Amino acid sequence: MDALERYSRQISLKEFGEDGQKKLGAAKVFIAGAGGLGCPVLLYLAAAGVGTLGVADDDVVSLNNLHRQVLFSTDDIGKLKVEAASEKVRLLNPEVKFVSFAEKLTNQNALEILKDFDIVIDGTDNFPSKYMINDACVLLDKPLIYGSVSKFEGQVAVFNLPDAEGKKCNYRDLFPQPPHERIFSCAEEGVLGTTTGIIGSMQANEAIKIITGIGKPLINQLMIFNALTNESFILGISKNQKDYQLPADENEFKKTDYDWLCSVNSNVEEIDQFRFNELLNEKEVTFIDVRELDEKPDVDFDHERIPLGELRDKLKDISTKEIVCFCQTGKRSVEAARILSEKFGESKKIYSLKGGVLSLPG
Amino acid sequence: MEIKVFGQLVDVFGAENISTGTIENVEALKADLEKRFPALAEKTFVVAVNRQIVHENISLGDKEEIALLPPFSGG
Repeated sequence: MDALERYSRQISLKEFGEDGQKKLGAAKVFIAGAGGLGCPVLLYLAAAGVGTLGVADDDVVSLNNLHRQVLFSTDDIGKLKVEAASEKVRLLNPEVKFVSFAEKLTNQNALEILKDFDIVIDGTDNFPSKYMINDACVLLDKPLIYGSVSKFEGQVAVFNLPDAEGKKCNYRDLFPQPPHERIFSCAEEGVLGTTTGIIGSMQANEAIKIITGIGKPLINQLMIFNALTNESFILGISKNQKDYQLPADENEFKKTDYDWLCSVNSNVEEIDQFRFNELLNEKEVTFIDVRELDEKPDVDFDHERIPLGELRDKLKDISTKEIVCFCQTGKRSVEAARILSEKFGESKKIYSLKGGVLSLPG
Repeated sequence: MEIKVFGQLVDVFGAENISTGTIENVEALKADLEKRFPALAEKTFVVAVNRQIVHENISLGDKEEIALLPPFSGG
């Protein structure tokens, strides 16, 4: 009886109804990070009656969190976020089962933790976590509700859910490789609590839609919202598998160094066509074309051809001390160079041709 | 052609919207913009044409709606 009363205003929605409420009650949603995005997600999903909510966060509440992390109070400063969140969720809705992990979600624990949940919500604030969570969700085939904020703008998308044609995109179909320049964080460039509140609420809203099967979730779409102008854009995302390579299995996933992959100072050096030409005249350099086998134009110098997607498997010992990767436009070759650099470490110097084959004079 | 830019790219272009003349394809557009705004060369971004993210070097007509989108990581 209480339950029906608690949720009566959403059950009254004919699209949602008692059926929707039952679906929410049976759902298990995981939220990575109880920060600016995670707090509104937790608040709304707990209030709506999602049966099980899981959260991982190893951080404690600080005073400068409170303007946007609206789950926490001044009294919570110094407490573990998952402990404070657990208490707030219990007070808000004791019917919700709250599963907390006072640790950072990493590639060592993610598969084990996420496998018990139906939907994963990304509330993290850094690229290593975003790529790691994406890859984990692809491996586990879990829907991922992505969200991110930069100053007054936010991005939301739903990944790993099939669209009408059965096509599933993931974060790497949008941004195949982590950025190699420095991208400022909320801590550095600042953020309004309302912006993370709006984007987090949109993530929670997408979760409710997916669980209950109402509306049109942002499947294979990216929504961008500007809080200063109230403009919003929805951009379509399509499969882009040639520009990235996901870990093939659990073993490879656990061995992937996400911090390093997303680090600004990796030992991959991007070179221009002039340096590329200099290296062509040296003897102890291996050139690897990482484009698909049928991609044109062909090049007329000695090289090996290993498509990016096959690089990990086909990589044999390379005797030269220097390796130059190239592709069509210079994106895949950066990824390839990172894979090689991960394998060979400091023992070899790895280059990627900036601008790719298209930058070379005809 | 009108180009809309998002996130930290606004600082590179100094505006949220910029214009450019007719340009043959996506790679030529990037090259043209990098010439005009050298800081763009250091930025990671994807291109959307008529509200569809494209990773191929597709041809561009006169009236395409272009958007340049950097990755965000805040949360």
